[in-house]
Amino acid sequence: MMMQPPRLTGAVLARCLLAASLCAVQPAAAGTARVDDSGTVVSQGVVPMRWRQLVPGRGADNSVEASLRVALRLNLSRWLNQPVKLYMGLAPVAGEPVHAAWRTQGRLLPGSVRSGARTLVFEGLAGTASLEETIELTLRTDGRALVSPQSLQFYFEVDTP
Amino acid sequence: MASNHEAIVCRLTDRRKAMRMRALPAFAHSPCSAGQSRWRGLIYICGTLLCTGAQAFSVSITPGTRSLFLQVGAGTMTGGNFSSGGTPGNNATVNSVSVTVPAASLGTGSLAMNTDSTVTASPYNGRAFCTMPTQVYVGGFYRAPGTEQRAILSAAAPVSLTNASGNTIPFNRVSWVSAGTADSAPTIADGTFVGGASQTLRRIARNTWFESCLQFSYANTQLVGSGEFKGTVIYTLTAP
Repeated sequence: MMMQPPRLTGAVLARCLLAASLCAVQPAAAGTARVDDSGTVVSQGVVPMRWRQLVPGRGADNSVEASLRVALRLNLSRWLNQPVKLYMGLAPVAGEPVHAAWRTQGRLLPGSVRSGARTLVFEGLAGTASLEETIELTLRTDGRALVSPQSLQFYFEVDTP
Repeated sequence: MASNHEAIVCRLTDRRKAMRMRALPAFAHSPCSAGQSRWRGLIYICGTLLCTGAQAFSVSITPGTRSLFLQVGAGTMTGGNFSSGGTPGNNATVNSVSVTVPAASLGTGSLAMNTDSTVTASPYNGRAFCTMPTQVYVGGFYRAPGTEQRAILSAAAPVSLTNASGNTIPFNRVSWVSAGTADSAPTIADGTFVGGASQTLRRIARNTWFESCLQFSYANTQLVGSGEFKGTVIYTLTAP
């Protein structure tokens, strides 16, 4: 017998919409909150890492690195016209740490971060509901430890007073 | 007598393809339970996403490529020295090492051999390293991610050097001393060809450049007929 997907009942749908709407109007509270960056576009989904030196030196430089462009779109509507500290973070990775450094066009601060940490990229009033910025992201890690594809999870979060 | 040297570049096996093919079915089969609970789960996930949005962008990175390079005698590079970004290339030149034994010197003891290789500067950084016309440059690298073992540098010489009349000189009459300007710890140890078999010259640590200048000599301990005795030595760098 073929199973048909159940229809959304009115009660379930209403609960879903209610929960979503409550979240949408939830006022920003003091503390740390993740930022919706679902509008962000990464120029390359898969980035081949290259040895930093074409051939290794007698001192053995084992770093691999790669660069890519990321068009950020951060939804700051929750914090509009509020003082915020915006951080860019890189989730921990298994094995050797990954270092990320970036240059910006001026809306965010340039900087660097190591996997498992975060770095301040903006401090001040959130003057726009949607912050857009393009960054040149350079990734670096120990090439000896990178033996299979690895997914790096970047995130943004806001600290409010 | 002449002894030729040749650079060999070996192919590396790639295990990653096989791993990738095995991983795909795991994504192709999504275990499902009862339809009702699945749809409820989706609804709650939907609500969560509406609430928080996607909270991370992800970038997938892939390992650096594996590579292997060996230069014996003449080599090719473009764009400067290797350490300044030069690119190593293939070079089909087979250099010679030779010595002429005067009749009066037959069997009287070791004679130094000369080479037609003109490589005196290290391809790595251009420093003066080998001496012309007595030394042959041997260098290269093995680069790989992971914890694989060392690459092996080996040399294979035939049993003997042979002249046109079929007379022979055992290849183990040819030896070398490893040296290089300001090279206090030569990479390749001094040695003698065993002849008729491949012999390991050095285990090469990955991600490290190695280089030596080899100066060959002929033992000259026997009386042999006149003529030009020839044999070819093949140097091979093999990655695991």
